[in-house]
Amino acid sequence: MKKLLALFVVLGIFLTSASADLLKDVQSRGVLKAGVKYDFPPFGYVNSKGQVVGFDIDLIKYIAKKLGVKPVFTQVTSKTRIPMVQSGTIDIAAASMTHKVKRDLPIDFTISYYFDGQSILARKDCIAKSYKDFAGKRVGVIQGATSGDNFKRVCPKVKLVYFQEYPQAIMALKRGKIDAVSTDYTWCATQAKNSHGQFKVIGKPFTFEPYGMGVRENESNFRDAVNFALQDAVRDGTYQKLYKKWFGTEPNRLPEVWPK
Amino acid sequence: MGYEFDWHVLIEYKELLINGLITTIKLSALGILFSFIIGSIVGIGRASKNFWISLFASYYVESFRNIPLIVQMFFIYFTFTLSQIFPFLNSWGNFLHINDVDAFFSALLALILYTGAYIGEVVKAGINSIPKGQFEAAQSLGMNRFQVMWYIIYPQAVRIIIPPLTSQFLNLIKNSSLAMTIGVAELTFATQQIDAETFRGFEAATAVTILYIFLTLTTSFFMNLIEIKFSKGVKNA
Amino acid sequence: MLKNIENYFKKHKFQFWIFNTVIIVTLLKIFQMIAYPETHFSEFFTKDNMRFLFFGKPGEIGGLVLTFILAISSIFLSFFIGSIFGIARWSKIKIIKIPAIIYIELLRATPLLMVIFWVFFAIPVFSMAFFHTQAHVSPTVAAIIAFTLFTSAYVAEIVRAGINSIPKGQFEAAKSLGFTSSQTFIHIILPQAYRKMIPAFVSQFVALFKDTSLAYTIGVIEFFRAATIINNRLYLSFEIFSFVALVYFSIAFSMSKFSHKLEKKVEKQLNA
Repeated sequence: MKKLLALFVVLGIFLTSASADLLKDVQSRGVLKAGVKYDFPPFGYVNSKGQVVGFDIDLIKYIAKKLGVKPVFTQVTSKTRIPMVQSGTIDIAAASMTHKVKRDLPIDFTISYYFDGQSILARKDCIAKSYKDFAGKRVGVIQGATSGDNFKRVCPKVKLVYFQEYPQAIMALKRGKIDAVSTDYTWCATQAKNSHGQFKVIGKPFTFEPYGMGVRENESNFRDAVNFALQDAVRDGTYQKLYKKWFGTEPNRLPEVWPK
Repeated sequence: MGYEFDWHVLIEYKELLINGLITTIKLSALGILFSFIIGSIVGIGRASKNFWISLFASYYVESFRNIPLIVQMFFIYFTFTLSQIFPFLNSWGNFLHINDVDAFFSALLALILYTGAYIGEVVKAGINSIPKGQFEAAQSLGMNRFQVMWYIIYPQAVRIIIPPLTSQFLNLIKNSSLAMTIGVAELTFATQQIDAETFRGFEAATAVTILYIFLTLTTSFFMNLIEIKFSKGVKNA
Repeated sequence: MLKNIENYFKKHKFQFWIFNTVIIVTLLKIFQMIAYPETHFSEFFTKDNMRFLFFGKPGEIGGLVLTFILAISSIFLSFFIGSIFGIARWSKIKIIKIPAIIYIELLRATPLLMVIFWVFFAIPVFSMAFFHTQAHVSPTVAAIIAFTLFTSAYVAEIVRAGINSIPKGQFEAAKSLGFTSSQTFIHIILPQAYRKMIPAFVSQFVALFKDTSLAYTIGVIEFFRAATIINNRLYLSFEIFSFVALVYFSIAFSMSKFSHKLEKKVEKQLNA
């Protein structure tokens, strides 16, 4: 028992207790710790210079400027984004995260800033027309994302293969180890476009995936500040500009903007 | 505001845990069997009096011992499609009820090569501990080198190496957890999957740790039994 | 003729190593030509990629440097923690011995990946339940804690074996000379024991160095993860992972050769 206590004293050097107001903390720190994906273009990925770029990254940079702080980026995956927000390792997770009721229990979400749906990416020789045709086939999904559960719900006999990162799923798809990859439509469409005809999207999006940024539970001031910043981005046109930059089209739907 | 433990998730997700346990057992059992075979061959090579055989065996041992297991798994899985190189793997995969043949066999192959290298050194030490006099006595009785090794030396060495061998087998069982990084749905994967879906990582990790302890204890127990059986009739056992 | 070559190599170690390197490189090249004829090494070996692999993202510590930092901090901390538990394990006093046994056996029966998972996901929960504070540990710190805990159990066993290897006669001799238990320990037993344990410590360090690659799973951008990030962009697994394997091999192999030399030196010292 004493050793356990000693262990925690040592850990105490690395621990910080929860504060009363995250917004005040962030502003006095001068740094906004943001978790983004490093493997999910165009939302977050590492370019050839080793820099982290993407739609989520640019939105965070805008929010940080509105809050008057500097952003610092950490990599998260579908699996680690929620625990890292919970434990305070990051202040905000902008990682193409779908706002689900189940996820609203451990953390809170900002307003939805992107609207997508789940879709399927397959090789060009695939004859399937929709998710129904994948019974008994191997479909790659990412561990921790909503895609696995969603697919099993509409096609219970599918054989799901779980990967840790999206490029691993792509490699497996390329080499025939799996028959398809299922995740949000934007990513599938981007991959199909960049694949020079190797991949194609199957069927229409079959779920509703509104993306929200994840913040710690019960931090209203911080969440309000982020929401207002996001809405400012829509008001002054930055959101539309970034959307065009990363997705190549006008936004299909704008985040809601509340009247002042 | 403490943390409310919810042990019922373990019952909800018992299928995931049981399947994970079975996959871990499949990986471990096949891994133990084949790494022992390879390790014995390599170990006999390492203990050989022939400089060149020993040298080539040491190439194998040093290469696979000094590269992290996870790197070996990634290299095999992402570079090669094993089911295309070895078509029979698909039927084995169906026989063993494996969803992802490539990931499972890549992990298995890496485990075998990696642990085989360590077992090679263990076997070498075991063989070298047999008094040299036995080689000479057996050869003077007319046995050639292979007969000496197979009938006289190796059986004695096996008994001596059982403790360090057990330790390598336990390492293999623990190392099987790395297969999760290339997508094999084994025990450690089950922990993370339960945590990702229910945020009850603590409960899941407790259950899985208990299962791993169960696996390692059972294996040690059996290896002990084997050691006792091999020690019958040996004077200073 | 083979016998002559063998004798030559025994006398000229340097040429022997050149020979080894040439043979291995040839074998690897043959393997590559069969398994993967078209290589794209030039795409991979850019200055940016190499800098990322060895030093991490610009402005942060990462890559191979971080691998070394992880390994060195963990071995350093686990040396102390492991020694405490090792001595406790060796002790005859039940109250000290039994918790030590539980700690050591629990950690030795758990895969390192599970320990990492415990530290990263379960400690915040733990601290919430018992201390009502939200523990906040960065992935790097969590990795160091996990490696330290895990390695300390193995270090404890090394320490116990080391102390056990000192002949009992020394304890009795010291006692007859009037030393107390702790004095015996500190001045007589431990110095000898630790000198004997040095090879085992170095081999544990080599194992830890290789195991740092597991920090990949919680997002620490050490050498292996940096390589997977590059691979995620370039999809050149053969080139990238063979380079990674080569780097790990060179470092781990040199360290274990160094440990052999150390072992021989220690043996000479002890038998002098």
